[in-house]
Amino acid sequence: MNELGNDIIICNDVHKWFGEFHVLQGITTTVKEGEVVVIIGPSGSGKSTWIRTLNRLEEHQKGQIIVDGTELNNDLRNIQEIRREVGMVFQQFNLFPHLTVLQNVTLAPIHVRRWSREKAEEIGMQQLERVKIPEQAYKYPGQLSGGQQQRVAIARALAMQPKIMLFDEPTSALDPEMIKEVLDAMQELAESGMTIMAVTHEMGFARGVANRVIFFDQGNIVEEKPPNEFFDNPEEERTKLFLSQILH
Amino acid sequence: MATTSPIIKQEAAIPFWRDVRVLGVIGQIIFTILVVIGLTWFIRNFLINAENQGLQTSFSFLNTTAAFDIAEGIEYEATDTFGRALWVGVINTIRVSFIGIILTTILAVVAGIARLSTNWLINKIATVYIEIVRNIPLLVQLFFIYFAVILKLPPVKDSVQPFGLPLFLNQRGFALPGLTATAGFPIWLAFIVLAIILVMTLWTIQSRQEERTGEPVNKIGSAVVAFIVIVAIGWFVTTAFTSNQAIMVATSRNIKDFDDFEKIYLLRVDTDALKDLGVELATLDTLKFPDNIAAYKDELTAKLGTGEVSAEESENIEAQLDILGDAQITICSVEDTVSEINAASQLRRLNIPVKVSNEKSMRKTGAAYAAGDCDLLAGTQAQLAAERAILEAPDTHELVDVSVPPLIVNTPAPAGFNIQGGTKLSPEFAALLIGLVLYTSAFSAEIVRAGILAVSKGQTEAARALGLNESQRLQLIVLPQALRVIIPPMTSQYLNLTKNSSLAVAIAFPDLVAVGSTVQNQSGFAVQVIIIFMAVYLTLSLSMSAFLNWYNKKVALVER
Ligand SMILES: Nc1ncnc2c1ncn2[C@@H]1O[C@H](COP(=O)(O)OP(=O)(O)O)[C@@H](O)[C@H]1O
Ligand SMILES: [Mg+2]
Repeated sequence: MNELGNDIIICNDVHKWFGEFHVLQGITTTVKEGEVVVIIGPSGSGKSTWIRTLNRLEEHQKGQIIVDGTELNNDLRNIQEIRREVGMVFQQFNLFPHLTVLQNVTLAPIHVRRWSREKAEEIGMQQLERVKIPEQAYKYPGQLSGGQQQRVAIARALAMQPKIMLFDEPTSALDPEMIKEVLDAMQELAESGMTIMAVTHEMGFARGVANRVIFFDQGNIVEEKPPNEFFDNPEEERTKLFLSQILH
Repeated sequence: MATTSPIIKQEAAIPFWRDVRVLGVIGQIIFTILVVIGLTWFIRNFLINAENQGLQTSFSFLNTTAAFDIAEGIEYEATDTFGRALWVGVINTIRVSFIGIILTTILAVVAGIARLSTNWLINKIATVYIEIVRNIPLLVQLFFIYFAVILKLPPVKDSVQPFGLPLFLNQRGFALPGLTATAGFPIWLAFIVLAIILVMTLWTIQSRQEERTGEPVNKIGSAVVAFIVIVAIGWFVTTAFTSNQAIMVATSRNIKDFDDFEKIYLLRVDTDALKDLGVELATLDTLKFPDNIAAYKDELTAKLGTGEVSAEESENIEAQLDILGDAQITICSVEDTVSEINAASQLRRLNIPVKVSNEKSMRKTGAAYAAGDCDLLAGTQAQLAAERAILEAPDTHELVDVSVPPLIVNTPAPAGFNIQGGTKLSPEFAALLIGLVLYTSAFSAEIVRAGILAVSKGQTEAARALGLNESQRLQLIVLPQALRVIIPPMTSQYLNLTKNSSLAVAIAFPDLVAVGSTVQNQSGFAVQVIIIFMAVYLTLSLSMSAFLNWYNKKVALVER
C-alpha cells in the first residue's frame, strides 16, 4: 500500500437536490493524497452525482467541498483551477471523435495548461505508452475498440498531470474481454501513487488495489472500510444484502 | 434428389426473375428507356410547334442590340447586346447571392447560438426574430424593407450615420467603406505568398534547431516579424514601382505631387472676405494650414448646431462657412475608378476639401478638363497621354506620375449634397440583400441550433472536466462536430437563397430574371431565355453543391 499524505478531498455535509429529489444527503468524508477509494452501491443511489460534484460537473447546494486546498463555490477561477488538477474518466469514454488520439490527449494541455505543442505531444505520447497504445496515436477514436478508447480517455486525463483521478464505472460499457486491459492501466496508476476515486463493481480491483471501499446508498455513505474488512466483515445490514446480491 | 445439399441447390437454381441483381439491372434499363422516350417526345413536340408558330429556335438574338438600360451592375450601355445584358443580370445574381451567403452564415451562427443561450434576453430576442421572420413570406418582407424602410430613409444630405461610423444610410441606398485593389495588388499578393513560404521555412529550420540544441526558440515572434517585414517591403516596392497612375495639371501650377495642391487650396481661402465678416486677425493667422481650417469649420458648424446663437450671429457663421466651402480642389475623373479614389483619398488625407466631378467615360471627363472645369484630371498614364494629345494647347499641360499603394481604403465622405467615395449599395440591392439574409438566416439558425444539440452531452462534460472554458468548448469541440450535421441542410439553404434572389424582379433589382424578362419582352425569344435561366441556376446550384459536398467529405468523421 502507498504512503498516504495530507487530506486532498474534503466533503463536509454535502447536499444536493434535483428539484424535489434529495439526491445527496449530507456526505462527510475525506480522502488523503495517494489514497485509492472504491465506491460501490446500487444503481440510482447517487454515486455518479457525488463524484461529479467533486469537479463541479454537478453543483452542490449545501455543505462544503474542498479539493486540493481550494473550495468549490461559484468562483469561476476556483472551478477552473480544480478542473486542471482533477482528471475524469467516464463510462461512455466521451472521446472527441473529430480529433486523432494524440490530438485528444494534447488538446487540454495546449489550451488549458498552455504548454507548447512539442511539450504537450511529448507528454501525451508518454501517457499513451503508459496505457500501452502509443501505436494508435494517429488514428481516430472511431477506429479503436472500446477498451482502447477507454485507455485513451485515461491517457487524455493523465496528460494534464492531475493530482486526482475520478473514474465513473470505467468498465461498465466494455465487452468482458476488454475489461482487464483497462483495470491493468488503473492498477498501474494506483501503484504510481495517484489519488483515485473510482465508482466500479469490479470486486477484484477493489480487493487488490483499494485502500478503502465506500458503500453508498440512498444519497449517503453507509459504510467505509479497508477492503478486506469490508468484504469479510460488513457491519450494516444494507451492505451485507448488497454484497450477497453482487457476489452471489 | 432428396440427398443433394439444399444450400448448393438453391445457389444454382435462382431463376433470373427472382435474382435481385438481375432485377436491379433490368429496372434501371427500363427507367432509362422511359426517361429517354419522355424527353424525346417533349423536345419533338416543342420543335414542331415552334416551327408551326414561326418561333425561332436559335440563340442568335443574343448578338443583337438590347436598346434598354440597366440600373446597376458591371459596365453596360444600351447599345450593348442582349447577351451582354443577360450577363449583367448573371453577375448581379451572383453578387447578391455570394454576399448574401456569407452574411447568412454569420447571422445564422450568431442567432443559432443565441437561441441556446441561458441568458433570458438574448434567447428571447433570437426566438422572436426567428419566429417572426420565418412565418412571413419573403416577398412581403422584401416589399416592406424596400418601400417602408429604405425608401423612407432621409434624403442624401441628411444621411443617417449610425454611431458616427463612416457609414451613410439614405433613400438612395447605403455607402460603406470599401477596399479598392489597384494595378499593383497582384504583385503585393505575390509578396504575401512569398512571406508565407519563408515563414514556413524559417519555422522548420528553427524547430530543427530547437530539437538539436534543446533550447526553446521564440518561433512565433520571429515568424510574425519576418511576415510583417516582407509584407511591408512588398507594400512599398509595389507602391513605388508598379503604379500606372498619373494626373494632368496645367504646367503653370507647378505641381510635383499631391502635397503641392495645399498652396493652391490655401490661396483659395478668401481671408479678405472673412476679415470683412469680422473674423479676428489672430484667428485668420491660424488659417494657414488645412488642418486648422478643417478644425475651424467644425467649430463653426458645432456653434450653429447648439442653437444658442442669435439670428444675426448665425447668418454671419453661415456666410463664413460659405466662404470656406468655396475653397476646394476639383478633380475630374471617370466614376468609380482607382484613379478617382486615389486622387480623392490622397487629397482628403491632407485635409484638403475635394470636389469630384465624374463622368462615365474618359472622353467626357477629358472634355470637362479641357473646358477648365477642374484643377486636375486623374487617370492612368496611358489614358492621360491620349487626352493630352488632343488638347488644344498640349504644351500648357503636363502629366505628373503618382504612386498608388496596392490597396486603397475607400471611405465615403459627404460632399455638398452628395456622398462621395465608398462602396455604394443601391436601395434595391440593399433591400434584396437584407431581405434574403434575414429570411434565410432564420431557417439556418434553426439548423445551427439542431447541429449544436446533436453533439452529445458527454462531449460537453468531457471538455469541462478537462478544464476547457466555454468558448474553447464551443470552438474546439462543439462547432467542429456540429458542422457535419449542419452542412448538408445548410447547403440547401444556400441554394434557396440563390434561387430566391429571383424575387429581385419585384423590387426592380436587375438580377438575371429581371433582365431576362425585359429581354424576353423585347426580343420575343421566350423559350431561349427560359432555357438560359435554367442553365444558369442549374450551373450555380450544382457547382455550389459540388463544393459543399467536397467540404462535407473533408470534415466527416473517420469511423471504423
Ligand atoms: N440531471 C438530473 N436531473 C434529475 N435527476 C437526476 C439527474 N441526474 C441523476 N438524476 C437522478 O439522481 C439519482 C442518482 O443518479 P446517479 O448519481 O446517476 O446514480 P448512480 O450513479 O449511483 O447510479 C437517480 O435517481 C437519477 O435518476
Ligand atoms: Mg452512475
